[in-house]
Amino acid sequence: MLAVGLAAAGLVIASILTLQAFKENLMFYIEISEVAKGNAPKDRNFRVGGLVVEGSVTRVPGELEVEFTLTDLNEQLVVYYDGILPDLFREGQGIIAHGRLDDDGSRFIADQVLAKHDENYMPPEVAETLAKHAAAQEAALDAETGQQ
Amino acid sequence: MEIFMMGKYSAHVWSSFGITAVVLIICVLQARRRHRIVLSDLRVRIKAMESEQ
Amino acid sequence: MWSFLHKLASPPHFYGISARMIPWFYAAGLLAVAYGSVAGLFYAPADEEMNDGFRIIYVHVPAAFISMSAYMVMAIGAGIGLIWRMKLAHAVAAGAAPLGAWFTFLALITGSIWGRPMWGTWWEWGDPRLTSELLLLFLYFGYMALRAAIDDTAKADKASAVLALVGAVNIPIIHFSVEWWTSLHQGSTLLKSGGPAMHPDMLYPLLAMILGFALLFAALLLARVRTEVLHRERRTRWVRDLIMPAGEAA
Repeated sequence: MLAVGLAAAGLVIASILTLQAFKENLMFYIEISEVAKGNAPKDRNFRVGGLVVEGSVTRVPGELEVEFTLTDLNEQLVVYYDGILPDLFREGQGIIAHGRLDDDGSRFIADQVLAKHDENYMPPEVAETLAKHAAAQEAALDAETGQQ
Repeated sequence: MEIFMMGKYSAHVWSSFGITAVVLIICVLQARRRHRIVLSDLRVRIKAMESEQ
Repeated sequence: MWSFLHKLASPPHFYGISARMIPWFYAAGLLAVAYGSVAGLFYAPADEEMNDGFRIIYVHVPAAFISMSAYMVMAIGAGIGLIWRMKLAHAVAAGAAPLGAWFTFLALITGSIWGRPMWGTWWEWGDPRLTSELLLLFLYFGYMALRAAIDDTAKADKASAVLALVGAVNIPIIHFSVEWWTSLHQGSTLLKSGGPAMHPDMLYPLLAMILGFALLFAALLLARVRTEVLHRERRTRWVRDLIMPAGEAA
């Protein structure tokens, strides 16, 4: 009986802590557009999410340090990170970074970078074909608009 | 042996499948054990009742 | 049909019929899981981005699917038991809980093993999908603790049924968490509008695994409900006759 009571109390506490973490997680996720407007906290950590801009990743040779630009397709934010990047990190990929703005508010200093995967699964050959088709379509579209 | 290699993810893939297999086996054993316990409890109880009569 | 269901709901009939059904569910489930595992591990092509690491999907998604389905079974059983006072329904709910907890544990642990290399973290506190799935595990534990705390079966049935029904709001929250909030977790691949976003060679083994897990869950559930029924009916004539066939009496 005592064991069951203790287990129940533990469960309630664990649930409250979990929900608390969830609340904080929601509160301190800030859109990049909001950061650009200056609506980000200066003195505490928060999280930003977006796509890694193609061609923006610059690394310091021989070091883990990396800098890249993150976009929410509206505004952009430069992110600096000194650590091991997850396997899914690549240009064009969605990521979430945790950290804070540096003193002049121009760069986001990340202490953690997490990569997201989308819901699509495909073998490399299919991905290649899809990319080829997309490129062809774009070219056709360009030709069309060029004629007009 | 080649086909058992999952690139750099061998440990991740095989541990996931291994844990899954272990949990499924535990589920089966637990269900059986509970059934055996209930059956033997019943036997004791019913025997006791019959001998009282 | 109705008379069959009516008969099935009577404990002695359920006890007999389920004994004959369980081996078939086990056999069919094992067959589906064997095919799904071999095809998923060795024949499905590797994913473009995650390479062979994506194969964790073949245990993670079925486990997560059953973790939620088991809760639905539990909540529906609890609801039927409360409304129609059907004892077998309460037995089903009680049998589903520990199984649901195991499959939730599996979904969490395989997700964690998958997340470490791909996302870059074992666990992200406060992530909507992870939080709601962890709460599902706590709900199962709470349900089992509540049952264990109440000695009177009828009272335990009622109290735990209320908890099961209240906790059912978490199921749609788990499913839609990735749409409502920003989560590390990806959206639904299988239930995406416009059909599954997956290559067929990868998809069929996954569907086989989900079917196989569902069949194994059904077998395990039947086995547990059988035990539950036997215990609940311990004072009845049919159980006495089952344990001590005529002529064997002391």
